[in-house]
Amino acid sequence: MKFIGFLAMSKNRLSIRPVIEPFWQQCMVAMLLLLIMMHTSCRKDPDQPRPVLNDTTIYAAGIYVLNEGLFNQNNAGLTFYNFSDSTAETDYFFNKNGRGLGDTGSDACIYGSKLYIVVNVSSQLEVVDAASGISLSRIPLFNGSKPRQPRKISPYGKYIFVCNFDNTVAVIDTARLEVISLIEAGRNPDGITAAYGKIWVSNSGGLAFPAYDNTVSVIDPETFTEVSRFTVGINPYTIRPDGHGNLYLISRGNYDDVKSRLQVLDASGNLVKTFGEFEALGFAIAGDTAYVYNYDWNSGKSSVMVINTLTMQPEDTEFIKDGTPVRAVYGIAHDPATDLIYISDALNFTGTGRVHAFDKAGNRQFSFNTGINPSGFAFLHRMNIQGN
Amino acid sequence: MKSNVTVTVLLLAFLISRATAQEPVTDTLMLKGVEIASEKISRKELTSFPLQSLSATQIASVAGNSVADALKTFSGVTLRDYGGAGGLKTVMVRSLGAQHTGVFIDGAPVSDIASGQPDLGKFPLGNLEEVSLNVGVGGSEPMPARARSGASVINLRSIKPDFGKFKTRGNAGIRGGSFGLINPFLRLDHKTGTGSWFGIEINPLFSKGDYPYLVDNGPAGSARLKRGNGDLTSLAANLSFSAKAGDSSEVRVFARFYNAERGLPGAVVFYNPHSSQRLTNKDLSLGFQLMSDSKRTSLLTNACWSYAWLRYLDPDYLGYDHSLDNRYLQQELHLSQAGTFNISRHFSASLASDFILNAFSGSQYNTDPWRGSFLLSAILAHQTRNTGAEAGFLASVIKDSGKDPSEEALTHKVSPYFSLSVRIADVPSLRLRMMYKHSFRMPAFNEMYYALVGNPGLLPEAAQQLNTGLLGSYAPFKGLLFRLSADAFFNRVHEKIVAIPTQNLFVWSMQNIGEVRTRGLDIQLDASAALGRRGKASVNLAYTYQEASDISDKNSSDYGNQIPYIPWETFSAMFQLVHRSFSIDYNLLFNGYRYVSSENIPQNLLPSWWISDAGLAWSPEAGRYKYRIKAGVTNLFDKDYVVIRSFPMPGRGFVISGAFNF
Repeated sequence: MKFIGFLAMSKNRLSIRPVIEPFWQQCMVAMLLLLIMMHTSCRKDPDQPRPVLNDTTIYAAGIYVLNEGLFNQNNAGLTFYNFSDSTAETDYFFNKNGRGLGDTGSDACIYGSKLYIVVNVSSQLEVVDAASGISLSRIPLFNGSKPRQPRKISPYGKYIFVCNFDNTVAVIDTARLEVISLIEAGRNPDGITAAYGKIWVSNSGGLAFPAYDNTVSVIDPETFTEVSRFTVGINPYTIRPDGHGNLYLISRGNYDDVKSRLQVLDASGNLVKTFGEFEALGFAIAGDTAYVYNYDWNSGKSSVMVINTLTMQPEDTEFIKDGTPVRAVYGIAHDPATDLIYISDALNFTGTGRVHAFDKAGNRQFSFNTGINPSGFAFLHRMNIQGN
Repeated sequence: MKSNVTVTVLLLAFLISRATAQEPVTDTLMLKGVEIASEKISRKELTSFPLQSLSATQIASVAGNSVADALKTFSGVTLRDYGGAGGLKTVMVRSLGAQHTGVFIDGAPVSDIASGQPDLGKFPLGNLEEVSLNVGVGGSEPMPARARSGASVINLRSIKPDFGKFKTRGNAGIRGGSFGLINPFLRLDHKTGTGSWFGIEINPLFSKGDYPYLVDNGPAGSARLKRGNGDLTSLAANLSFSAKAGDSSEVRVFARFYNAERGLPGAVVFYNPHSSQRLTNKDLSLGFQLMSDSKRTSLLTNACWSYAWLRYLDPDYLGYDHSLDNRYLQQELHLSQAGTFNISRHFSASLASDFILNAFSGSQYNTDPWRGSFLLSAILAHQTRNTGAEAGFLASVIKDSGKDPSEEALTHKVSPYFSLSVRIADVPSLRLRMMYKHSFRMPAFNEMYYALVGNPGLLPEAAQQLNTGLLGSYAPFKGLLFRLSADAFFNRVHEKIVAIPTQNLFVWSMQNIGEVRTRGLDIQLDASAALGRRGKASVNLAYTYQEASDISDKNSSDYGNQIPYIPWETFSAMFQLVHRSFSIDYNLLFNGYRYVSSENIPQNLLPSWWISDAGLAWSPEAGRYKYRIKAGVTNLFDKDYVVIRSFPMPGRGFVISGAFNF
């Protein structure tokens, strides 16, 4: 009974005290939740991310930075950088909602009017009104009582696809905000992207080391089934399309003799290229350029390099031109509204992190502090704001 | 630091030369195998190194299941406790890592080569006559070189049976309490000859560990839940046989057994209360001890073999087989010969040499590592009525199997130790003391070899301790006694083993990159008063202030900040009132605020807490029989608190126990 009370209470973001509510109150809560859900379902989510480039009516309103936090410390957090006054507020989610995100934030994206946040160890998908930062729903991702451990997220059509460490991909309806389907993928999927009419899932097998997985599952977003599986390097991770019919992905190797590499997969599943001359941990693609970062754990050196996705050749080994120090590069993203490249720095991995914004020439524009281990970015555009 | 050492040496030399001209010793420090109560008090008062102890009556007033609960009342001790009867418990002494403190039961070591310090929750509190903490590990009594190798040592001493005119003595009883605690115990000692006896001790413990706790998640997310999967079933058992061989020798053989099966409730994770991991222990130690005492020499021989098997099971692990089943086996052989030789009336030399062999195999290790250690300790002590001085060293040669051929094959070190004390006044008795010790701890096998995390190239973590203090006692009139000790200490840790993330945040690795400087103050004040003919009141207060600064990296923003989990202030108070066969105890423990990281920001802050335990006992005596019935409350004010972040501690609990001594 206590437990049921807790669940009902946590969903009810209006309740502010941790009390065990009587049954009639729980009914009220349920009705309230229904009301909220009906309200949200009135909003039509777009089928595709909005086109933003060179649209003068769209400009950056803010940046959400997801701070991963530390394992078992319940300190995943959201930093919001507000362009109107150029300030960053860490603990933004907590301040808005009176509770924390939970343990180990692993991915975030804005789709339509909503910000979706994957909280890995808490096994939750937090759905937030992107403009206000107020939570609309918290969707538990459990298999019975066992956590599925969601990892990464990708929107497509009316759905949000979340890959889970328990070898599944959950499909969440963006209007009803509930899991409508579960698709079997490979082992411990740790990267997902929507491209070329399909959902691409990289199966890491990372929890079964040294027996890593080395495949990418392709899911049909209409039938919710896996249609093919392609072989890539071992322990694949982030996967993103380049817009020219290819997908770039990181294969993290075994942290020993097999190094972490950037690879290119074409849409028919052929491994086109492995960049064998450098190590890579993550990347972002903007136009015909991939910005690829690496952190060398032995030397403690961070690097960001530039790759031309048309020629598939490195263009520049050092993206940062102005000597901005980045101690431990931990995430990268491109905001089409500002055309800036954002690079996050985890510094010592246990404390305050930092985000730097660079123009495409590699010169720093501004910086702000974040929470622990900033890894994910979601860009809030003014067009999405009603009033404010 | 160097100049401090020089000063110490000079002082030492000066005092030795001065002291040799003194009168013969009356309050000798030579402690034989058997001590009488009055000598123990004088030992505590005379030592030139910080020594704290709890007597059997004080131990009886401690609420809790294990020796960890007794140790947390000592000053300078920071307990790490994951909560509940089954939660891992270790202690850090004066901000040094838990691996710097050795643990000995009746002179025989207990260790854990995988983690560095054994889980103190394994050792039940009952049947202990003394729990003591020796910082610096001075003293001229014979002890294994290994005991001297630590920065401090915890000694647990079992009750020696007093047969009187009876052949069999013992006690039996049961404790029961909140959160499903049931703990029967039995001890039986049987005399088999004039100087020989056989002892058996059995201590099973069952605990459900389903205590309520607060999920501290802001105004909108906080909730009260019950800890799940926190059950513990354990059995601790000892068998021993002791025999006097000749006038002054005693032989003891023992077998110590510990078997436990428990759930690991895990960290509190918001919105995800699921936990299903299990831990199984099977430990066995067999030992042989030979003690012999003569006018000029005391000898102590120790031979001990121990075996510890551990299984960690995660049935819901999302790896290949959807479960994780790790098994680890460690074995240790420890041989030690120690002796103290009274060279002259004032001088004694204490020598010991140890050989230790550790072997390990485990499913998360790439190799089956072993370690061979040879330790030699020598201490020269000089004792007069007015002064005491000790100087010595520990030489170690250690071979690790897992070192790269490129690295130095052997670790060899010589660690010096000095201490001295000087009597300043007789009434009230006042003594000054000073101690310097260099010690190091070898990297634990988990730090060296654990898959992905381990780093076989780790160097030992070195610690230097400097202590200066004042000891006083004053008895204004018969029946009232005050004792005070106040010590200032300065510690320096070099090449501290620190985990830093490698590869990704789930994979951390060990590096020798930490430097820590600690400055602190320890104060203990004990007072006892006789109340009429059959009453007694006592108060024991202990306070510690310590600044443990992370000075690893001058360029870091954390430079100079307090290291994780070390509170600036700790305080404990034990009040005991005895009248006839009734006694009331009230124990108070305070832990100041501390941070979980060297980044001392509000997000990393753990708030301070005050915890009170209270107990009421009735122990009537009827001839040879003694009964004891005790009712106790732990965490009297039901305070929600954590020692380790995300691991809540139990709230208010009740314990009732009944024991029968025969």
